Amino acid sequence: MVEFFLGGLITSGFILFYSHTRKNGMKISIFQWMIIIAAFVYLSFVSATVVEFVEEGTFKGAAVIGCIMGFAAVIWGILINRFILTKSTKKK
Amino acid sequence: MTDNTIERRSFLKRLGLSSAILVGGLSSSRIIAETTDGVLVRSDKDYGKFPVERLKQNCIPYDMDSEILKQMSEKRNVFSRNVWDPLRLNRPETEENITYENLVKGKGEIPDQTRLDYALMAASWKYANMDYGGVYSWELQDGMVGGMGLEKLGTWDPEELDMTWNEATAAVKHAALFYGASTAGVAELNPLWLYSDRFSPDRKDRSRALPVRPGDERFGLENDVWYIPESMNRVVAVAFEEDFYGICNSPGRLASAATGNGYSRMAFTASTLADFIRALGYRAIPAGNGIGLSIPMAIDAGLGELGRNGILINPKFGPRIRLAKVITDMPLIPDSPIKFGVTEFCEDCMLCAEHCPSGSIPDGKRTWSGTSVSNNPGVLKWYIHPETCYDFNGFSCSNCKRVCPFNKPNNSWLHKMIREFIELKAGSLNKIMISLDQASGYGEQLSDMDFWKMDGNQSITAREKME
Ligand code: SF4
Ligand code: SF4
Repeated sequence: MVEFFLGGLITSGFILFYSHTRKNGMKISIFQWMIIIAAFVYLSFVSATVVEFVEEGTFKGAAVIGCIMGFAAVIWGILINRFILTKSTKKK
Repeated sequence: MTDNTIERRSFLKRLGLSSAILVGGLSSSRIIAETTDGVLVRSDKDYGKFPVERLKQNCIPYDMDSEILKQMSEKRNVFSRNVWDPLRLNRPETEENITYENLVKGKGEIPDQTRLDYALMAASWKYANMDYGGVYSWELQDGMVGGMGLEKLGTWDPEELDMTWNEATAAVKHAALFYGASTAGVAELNPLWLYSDRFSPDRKDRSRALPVRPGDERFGLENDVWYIPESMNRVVAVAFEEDFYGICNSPGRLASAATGNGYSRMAFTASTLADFIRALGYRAIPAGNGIGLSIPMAIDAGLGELGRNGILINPKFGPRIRLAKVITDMPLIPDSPIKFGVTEFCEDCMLCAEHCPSGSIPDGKRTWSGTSVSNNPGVLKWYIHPETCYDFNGFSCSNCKRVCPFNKPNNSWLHKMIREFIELKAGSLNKIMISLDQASGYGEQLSDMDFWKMDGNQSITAREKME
């Protein structure tokens, strides 16, 4: 159940992101799209991992893995923003 | 060697394949690849979906020195020595007995130990010592099998039902699970694993040990010698999962309750399974810890690998199991021994040695012999020190199970993913996985009240969660 909810949330996030790029006329290459999609897949994986720990009752595990993997997700997000989104917005 | 033999270099290929299988969903037993010594398989039912290398029949997953390895005398094991060996007779009282006396005699409150805990522990051991009452008898005792005369109908032939011996073997394992085992396997009996004697079989004369010999067709006790016919060359090894949360209470009464529960189920299942086999017209000797060494028999029967902690580690339940066995002349088809990276992982992991309160688990390399007379030399392994373990332990300590990274509350996809890495035997990753396991809080002691506050469904390990 929680997994479905998370899946729905992340998919909606992706759809919103996609319409945002269209609305702003951003030019994103196929290769860049692949990096962005991979980031969303990774985000799903991190969320699923944290949920699994919580369901198992291992809250410390959820916190530790959430921090480590979540940190990597944040860095990934920053890099996407800096090198893909900002640049493609400038082109406009 | 075939093209797709597993080597470290195939890491990425395997990882991709494993992920595809994880994503695609897992169902029944399937062969993933061939290896030098057998095949890599995945089976929901037998191995909890973890990847396991099923070895060829002639491959054994341990090294023996046949010059040194001899049958062990039951009189030499630590439980027997406790009642006859002068070195053991004056041993210090175990912590378990002391605290129990304190509670019962009202000598004082024991922190974190309640009457609830003692009640659960005391009741769980109820059937554990039934060998005194003949549960582990070599002969059929009173009951419906004899009452209906089933054992006298001659030996059952599976062909009567158009079954093969493979199917008949599966039926016997099915019966073992039906009677309460968590998993079962069959091996050809290696006589080296039988004790060379039976220590105080009637439990009356506690200094007496009667020899056990191979008999042509002689069976049972004759002139103070126990005979096991050579035709009894199969062993059905059965394992019983212990409650995860009980073991997590170690060292404590609830861990003893989980252990006692395992012992009681051993007695029930081994004896009923033996009667089932007798009802089919074959001979059967059920045993808990007696008759022979359960762990090597279980390894031969494909139930797991030996860990640093001296315990069998099963792919599905980890070290959280107890073992029993039934020796028989029913010509069952043996299973293959398995490997899934335990030895290699234990070489990098010291958690059980670090958390053993009595320092009974070695933290070095495997050796060919131990330092105690209760160790049986001749196998390359980690030899634990049974005397110091027993003296701390009573039966309340299971720290070496509690902290083991193979001990998990369920077999979720997360743990499966980690097992994929363990099976790859990529040593450098082991240390990272152990650190993460610790940081995540696995292996921490569970307080008594946390155990009791859980609802029943959670505190009794749900078997379906381990599938
Ligand atoms: S049961 Fe306890 S004392 Fe014995 S070996 Fe395991 S951790 Fe050590
Ligand atoms: S705790 Fe570590 S070293 Fe000990 S048996 Fe388990 S995996 Fe092996």
